[in-house]
Amino acid sequence: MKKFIVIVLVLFCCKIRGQNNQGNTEKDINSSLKNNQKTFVLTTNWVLPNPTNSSNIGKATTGKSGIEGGVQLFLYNNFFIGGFLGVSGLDVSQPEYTGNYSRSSVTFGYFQVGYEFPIQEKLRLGLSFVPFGESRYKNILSNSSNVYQVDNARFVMLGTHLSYKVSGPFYIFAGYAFRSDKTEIKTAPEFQDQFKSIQYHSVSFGVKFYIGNKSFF
Amino acid sequence: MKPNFKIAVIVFTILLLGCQYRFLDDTRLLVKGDVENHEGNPIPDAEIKVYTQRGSGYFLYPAPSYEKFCLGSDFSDTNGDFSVISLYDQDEDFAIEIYKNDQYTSYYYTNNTEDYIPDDFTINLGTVTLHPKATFNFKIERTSGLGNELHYAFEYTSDYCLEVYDKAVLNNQQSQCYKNEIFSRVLNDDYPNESSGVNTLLGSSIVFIYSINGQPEEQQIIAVNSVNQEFNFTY
Repeated sequence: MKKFIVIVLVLFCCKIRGQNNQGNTEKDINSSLKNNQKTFVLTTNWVLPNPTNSSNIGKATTGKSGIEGGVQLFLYNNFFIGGFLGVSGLDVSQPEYTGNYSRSSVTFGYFQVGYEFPIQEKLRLGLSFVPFGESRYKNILSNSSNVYQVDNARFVMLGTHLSYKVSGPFYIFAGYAFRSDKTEIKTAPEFQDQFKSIQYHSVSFGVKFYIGNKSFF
Repeated sequence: MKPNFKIAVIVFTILLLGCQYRFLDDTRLLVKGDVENHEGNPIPDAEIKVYTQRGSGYFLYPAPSYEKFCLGSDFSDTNGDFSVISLYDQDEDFAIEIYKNDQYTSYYYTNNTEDYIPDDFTINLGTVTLHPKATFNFKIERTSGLGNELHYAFEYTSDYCLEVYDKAVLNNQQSQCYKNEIFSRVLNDDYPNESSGVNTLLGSSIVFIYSINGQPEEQQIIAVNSVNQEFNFTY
């Protein structure tokens, strides 16, 4: 009986010790995640916009990859604001939908708000919303790009990204965004709906460089 | 001698600016209508093209050369209807051309759009009629010997339709749509024979008016009923 009581006590002590160790590990991870706070992020990435068929420009074009870059500032905990500039393009395969030009060079800039948080020690997930962006479509008739027309648009965008820590402050990331451009194009009433917006599914890959270890506020 | 970089930069900038052609921002024009033949049947697959023309000289006037740019194009459907989406240019040489093939006449619309934007960004050409074309080849030969003279003329219908618009209004004085044309010559000892041709409408009539050695005019009416009509005359 004594032997049995000793064995039970030893097992109980071992269990308590094990629980304490597990608690410490979770604490360590939670602590590590909590200490994963950043101040700034510098981002540059490759982006491929894929226009949907919801507009004449979307029906007539295919997306050309481009680049964008920007900076994000963590205002409070994981909430951030950011600003980006970029350039991408469109190839026009059916100019009867758009007017006669062969390609578009699209420059854009936007302001974003978002939330990014660590989901593992090396993984960060971000959600972002662009309430205000501007884009400029330079529609080029000839190869030399000096014969052109310009369309202007404002856009909103909703996106998400997943970052993976490579080393120190360097992360690589992949992202997806849905973007809706509201154009300033004026045309005949029967075609106005076909030109008033251009929508995209956009994917991106790039690198992020995190700076600092506390939020701005 | 020191190179003057400021002047070089200014000249380079001017050259760059001088070579740029920018059409009206944030605008799409709709050109619509329908194409039919002289019998009222629709013509499918007629090509509609919207053009503007720009002088390539920047400082010299008149511009030493012009470049023509296609702003939009499409084809008529099986009912002959067309809706062409085009860019728009505010320029003195804005044009629309409708063309089927070499067997049909062509239609031309021109407008000075420098200070004109069509209502609703739409130009409605209505019904455009293209006619089958024919070439009328004639050969006139003198067989009566020296000293004989022939005054002659062909009255025929031209094979093109040019409509000139002042903003939204058709300028009838400058427009020339299947107008009657006259081709006239005098043949004499210096130039006794003639072999030439005119383009006209298949199914139309050509009036041949002539006078030999000052005698009263006579005339023949020639029906153009083949694509390549031949006509021979001797005096």
